[in-house]
Amino acid sequence: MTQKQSTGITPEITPESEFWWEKISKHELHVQACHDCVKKWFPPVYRCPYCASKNWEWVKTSGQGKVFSWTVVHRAFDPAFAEDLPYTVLTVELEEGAKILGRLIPSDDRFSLKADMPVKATFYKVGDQTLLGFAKI
Amino acid sequence: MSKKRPSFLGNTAIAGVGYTEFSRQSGKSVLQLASDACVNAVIESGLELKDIDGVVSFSVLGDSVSSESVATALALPKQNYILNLNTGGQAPAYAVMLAAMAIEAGLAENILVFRALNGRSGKRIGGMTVAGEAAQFRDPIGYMGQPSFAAMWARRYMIETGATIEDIAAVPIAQRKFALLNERAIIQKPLTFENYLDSPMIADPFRKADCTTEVDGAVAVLVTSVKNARQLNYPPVIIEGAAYVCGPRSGLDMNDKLLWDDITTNYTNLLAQPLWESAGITPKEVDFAEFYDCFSSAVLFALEGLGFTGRGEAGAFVRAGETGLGGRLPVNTHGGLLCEGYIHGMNSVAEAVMQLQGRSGSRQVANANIGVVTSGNQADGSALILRRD
Ligand SMILES: [Zn+2]
Repeated sequence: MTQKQSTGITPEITPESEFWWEKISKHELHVQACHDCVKKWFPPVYRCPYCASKNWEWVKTSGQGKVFSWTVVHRAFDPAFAEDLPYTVLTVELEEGAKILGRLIPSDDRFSLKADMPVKATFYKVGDQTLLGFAKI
Repeated sequence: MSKKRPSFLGNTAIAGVGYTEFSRQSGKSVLQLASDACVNAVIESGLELKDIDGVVSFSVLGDSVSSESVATALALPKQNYILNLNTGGQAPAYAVMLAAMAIEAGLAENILVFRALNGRSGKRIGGMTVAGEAAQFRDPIGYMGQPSFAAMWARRYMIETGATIEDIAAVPIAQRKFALLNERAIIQKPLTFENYLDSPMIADPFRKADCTTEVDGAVAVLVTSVKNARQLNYPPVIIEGAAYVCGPRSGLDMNDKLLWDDITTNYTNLLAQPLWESAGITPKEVDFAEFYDCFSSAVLFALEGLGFTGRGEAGAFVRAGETGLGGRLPVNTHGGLLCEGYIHGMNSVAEAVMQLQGRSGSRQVANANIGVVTSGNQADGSALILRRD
């Protein structure tokens, strides 16, 4: 395989997600919180997926959470990631309650990965795009 | 739950199945594959093409042809029921249910249900990038490919239940034994745990041996009334029970499962009660099962979800040989999608029919009277309970 920089894939931002991406570019992690049923969630939905309320707001999280699950990807399902292999995608349960996806950073920490391990949001760039990752605390 | 039994149950049947060859390169159009499988199902059942008045199919991201095009290619007369579902693995049992409902309702009499794809040489589902509302949170970080999504569930399942890699490996190891008895199976090699560990890692914990084998091919089944089926070539396979379920917060698109409450259990847990009630039986009465197995973990989820084993006990059940020939519940007697090939679960419906008609040769389950077929692996799915007449 030829030496190639990870080119990345640009997110297709929607009206619901614009705020979230803008905050990510400022290294802040937000989730939605419902005033009616007190649930918090991600990904963005314009009504609460637990009670259908439109009475919600974005809340800034601490960025801290626990590793809920993960997969170490060994196959490039898109050529954009061929140079990153192997890499790890985490599902993180934020201390505020919502679950979210992010890359494990640095990649070598996959060897010491454990369930419920505390992690903290960290941010990385591919081209001009800021993306969400998580690092061991 | 005190629900009326759906009226199509017990009154509708699968009369025949039709296959094309399964290969890595068919050299044929999808329309040709679809049409050939449909013709085979019609001829085998003892009907004629002019008797068909409905066609049902499903596809993902335009990887197949429409039911109308098959009706055209086969010179079928006026059709009374046509359906093109835009769904994946949750579809096969559901498609049969919809055909059976149409027949019971009097809308149509003989309906072909098919799945056709050049799944290896053409559009490959495993690595497809699926657009959707939540793809923007997956694609940029490289969370792509069906193995990665299922792996996320399997890993959490292992964490919570203590299931080991031996438990996961037991599924392909068991199914390879059936595949060796099935000339149609694409994978015809025995598998030991040592070989399994040599299989290349795809998306941890899944190795290549845990992933379905993508193939080119088509499978069709013919759905009709029990009354009609009794006049045909083979014993009718009666649709005795059926259910479909989509759990709450199934996600914004096919691969968005962040809002799913518990990724260590899938739709089968929600399906169990309505499924067993629909047929008025319990898991103990089932002679064999064809579980949708896009990935090995799907078999463990279904065994536990439908109540064949307790929580976290499915791996030990498979390791003990209980899903093999002569075991308590032979599972995926064609070798499953892992080995026979990925006709998206339509071939699992067909295998159940073959077993119940006593036509499975050296892999025949003795006294196969009742079989269960599942379709799906995540938040939604369907299942059939089939009974030999
Ligand atoms: Zn709410």
